[in-house]
Amino acid sequence: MSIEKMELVNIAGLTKDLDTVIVKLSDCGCFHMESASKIAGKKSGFTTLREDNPYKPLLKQLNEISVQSGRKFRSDDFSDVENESLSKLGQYIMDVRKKLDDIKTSEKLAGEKLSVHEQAKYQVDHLKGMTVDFQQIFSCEYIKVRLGRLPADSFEKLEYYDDKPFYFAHFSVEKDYYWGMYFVPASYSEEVDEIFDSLYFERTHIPDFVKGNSSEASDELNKMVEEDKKLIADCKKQYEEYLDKEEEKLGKIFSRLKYQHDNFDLRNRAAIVNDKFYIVGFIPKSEADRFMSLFDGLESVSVVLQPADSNGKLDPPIKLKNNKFSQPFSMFVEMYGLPSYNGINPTAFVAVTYTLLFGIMFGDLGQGLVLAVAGALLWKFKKFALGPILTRIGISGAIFGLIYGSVFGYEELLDPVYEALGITFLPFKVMKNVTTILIGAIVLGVLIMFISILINIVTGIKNKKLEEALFGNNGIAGLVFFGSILVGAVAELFGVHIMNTAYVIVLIILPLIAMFMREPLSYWVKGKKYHMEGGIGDFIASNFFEVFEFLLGYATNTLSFIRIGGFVLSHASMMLVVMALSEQVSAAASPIVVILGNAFVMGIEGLLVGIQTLRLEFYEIFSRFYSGDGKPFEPVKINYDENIE
Amino acid sequence: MNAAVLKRRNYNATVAKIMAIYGKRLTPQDYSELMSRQSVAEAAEYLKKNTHYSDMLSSIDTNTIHRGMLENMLRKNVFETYMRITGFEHISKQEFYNYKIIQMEIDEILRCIRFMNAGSEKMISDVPIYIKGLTSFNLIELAKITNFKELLTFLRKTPYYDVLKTIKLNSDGKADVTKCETALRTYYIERLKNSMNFRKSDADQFISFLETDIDLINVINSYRLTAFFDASADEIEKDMLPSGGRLSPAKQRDIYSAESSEEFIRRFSKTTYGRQMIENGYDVNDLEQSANKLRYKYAKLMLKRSQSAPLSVYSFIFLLEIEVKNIISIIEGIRYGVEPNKIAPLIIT
Repeated sequence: MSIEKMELVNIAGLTKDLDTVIVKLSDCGCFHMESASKIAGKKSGFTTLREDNPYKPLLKQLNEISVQSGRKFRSDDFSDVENESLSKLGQYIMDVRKKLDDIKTSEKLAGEKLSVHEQAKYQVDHLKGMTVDFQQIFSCEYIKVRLGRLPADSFEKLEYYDDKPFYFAHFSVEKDYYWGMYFVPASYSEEVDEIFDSLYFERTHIPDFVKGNSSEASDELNKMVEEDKKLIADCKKQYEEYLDKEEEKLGKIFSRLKYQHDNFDLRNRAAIVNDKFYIVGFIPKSEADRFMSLFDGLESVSVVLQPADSNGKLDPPIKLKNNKFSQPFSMFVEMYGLPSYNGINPTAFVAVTYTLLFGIMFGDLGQGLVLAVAGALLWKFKKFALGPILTRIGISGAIFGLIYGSVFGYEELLDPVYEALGITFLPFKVMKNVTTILIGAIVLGVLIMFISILINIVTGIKNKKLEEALFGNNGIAGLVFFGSILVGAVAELFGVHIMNTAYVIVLIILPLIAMFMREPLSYWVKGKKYHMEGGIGDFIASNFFEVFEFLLGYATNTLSFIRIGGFVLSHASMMLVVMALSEQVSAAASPIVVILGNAFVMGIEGLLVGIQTLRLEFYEIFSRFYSGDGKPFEPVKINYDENIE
Repeated sequence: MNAAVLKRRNYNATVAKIMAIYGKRLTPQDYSELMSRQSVAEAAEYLKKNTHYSDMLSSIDTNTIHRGMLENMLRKNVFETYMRITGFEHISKQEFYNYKIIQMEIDEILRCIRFMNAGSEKMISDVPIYIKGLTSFNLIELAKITNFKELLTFLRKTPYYDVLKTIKLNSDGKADVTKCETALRTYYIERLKNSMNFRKSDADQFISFLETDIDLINVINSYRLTAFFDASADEIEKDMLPSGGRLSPAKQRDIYSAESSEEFIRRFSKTTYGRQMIENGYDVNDLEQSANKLRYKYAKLMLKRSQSAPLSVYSFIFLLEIEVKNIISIIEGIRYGVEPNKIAPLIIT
């Protein structure tokens, strides 16, 4: 439960071996590579490689195939295509793309035909009932016929043109349009066309291929539409079949190209001088022997290991070392930020407090077990990162449910069991012990705050941050002040008078002064001279408000933990409501109400309690000792999920 | 329900409904999106997909829609919205709410006179046929009229006959459109005032709004007469709508007697409206647009402050009409390839 110790690795060799070394580094899975330019200054003569990645264009084409087809290429054994030349691979990819494009073009053409036929059908369907052949209508010599739709408002205005020689016949009426045709003597067609244009008549041009009357034409168009749809379906099938056939080879080529592409990119992180290269990075100390053995036989390459913090320009990356129980909770720590290399790994503390606090708030044997099983299933089948956390906190909830005697909201179910076992102090009925629960929540909160302050003191001393460790609100001064007030208050509550003048001066006022003077005091402890910036007035004003904020913080942070008790009560109250509702419905509906009620409470309460606990962790606990400014340990590897665009 | 009861009723549901519809109005962002469209089809498509006009435009094919038809549909939408909100609590039966029909009838009569005077073919496509059945005359028959005498005969049984019968015809037998317009609009205002069956506080607020609006319409018209027709103060006064607003007769006379458009603006700038334009950052030199912006501002203010149905209906429909005018300006701009930055100043928000 600490931070993995690292070694700084310096690799130097001849550039002819650079690619070999890079392959070994990416294959080993334990090398965190830094950019060598960070430490090789301009004066040293080192340069970095600025090369175009030759594998990128082909990968881009593969990515386009992947996006177009919706098939994701994964890492695969590429030994079959390992020795193929890039030009041959490029030709193959091009052939595949051409074939796929050809099929897509056929599908698109079929789609366009479908659209034309559907449009014609839509128009012809509005002329249903017209028994005359279209060809006959349009071939009239002295009468012109125009098909289309007229806005409903314009239809009303036709009476204005009573004296004009045309006749408009409508076949159907849609929301805002009259579908139909107008007949006009050929000699008047120009004038009448203008009138209809001004009335926003939308003319329909029936395609030449439409034959027969409206009913026959509709049937014919139906057939065409079906044929088009079949053609489109055939194209889709052909596309998928072709992809099925080529997918394996494409996947292998993708794997090979991605492997070479990512390795090639790593070359840019090496520093080059003349015919030599220089690579710098970190490995976990535990991997040192295995790592060194990778370079056996490479005569020109020298690998030197140094202590992780031996180069001031490079901060060692952070790899958290956790046990099996706390491992899933590292997600929360990473979410906040990783610790610094010399800091402490708070994952175990988070794991314990999170599990405990959640369990207390969510206490129900049945619901806890359901949550635990759900978490296990989510992890097993979906690899859902929260799954293992749900399992742990679910079990914790079940244990506290056992203590509270609550099973799916039934508060008396376990009573006979405890009676049979002769345990008299259990179950601890939540609704009958409201005050105890609220006081218990504050006590627990204070305990957690004390532990957090202690951790801060230890890490502060370890990292020589004396101002924080000794005189800060989360240092010794703060601990003494906060502890003394609490102890004094509790003692007074129980009638023990310990808050005498000496107690107040030594344990309350002195720590308060220490907090006020923390900056000059820390200089004094270090044996350095303190220079007051901004004058005495500024010093007093700023420190007065800071100390005032500290005092407020102690009060609000302590009270903040009351929410633990609040949620214990709200969980129990919500289940009481569910039970009351189940009693009011019929016997048949009662189990349904209980099941739905439990599901609802588990969902809403689980989410709320989960979020509130995380808030307590981040705000009340982490803020006391944790900065989260470390950088993660990211060993170089081939990223097969990345898209090259 | 008797008049006294109607007077006391609040029609809060109507006010709430109006505010709900008003909440869906076009935003400045919508206007800039519209202005950035390259064609009328694209603008129509934007309105169809992203605005409260989507229902209205659901059946149209945006690829083929004609600009004129789109404009007519937008105008029709204003009327349908008016019918919807006045029908919500059946207030449309109250005389006041007939104002929209009267307004549209007057517009149609004036359009008819303009076409007759110009001797051009009537634009039957623009006739708002959707108000058929609610008007006091047949709109199609009106469109067929060819001279003023015929028009008077046609309007014989309507209140407009008395309004127009005193108009003297010119030597060519044509009627002066401006005089007709002044007479008809004056009739409209009088009728509107007489139909107000509101509580006193609402009536006072409405009259104040109406008089301000008339003042600003008079300012726009008098400016046009000065700038483009070089009209004298006497001539201008005759063509103005009667107003008891914030411009005293002396002040009005002072502005109307300006020798030039520049002098007109200089004098106007010193009036209460001129000062308000300057305070609001409007360009007084672009007087017409700034006056319309001020009209818009007052209507918006009345809508926001009022809890009374007639005031809300009147101001809301007014604002909706401005919105339609804005869209039409944009569509015309797009149609004639005007740059968005040149269309933008025409938009009133």
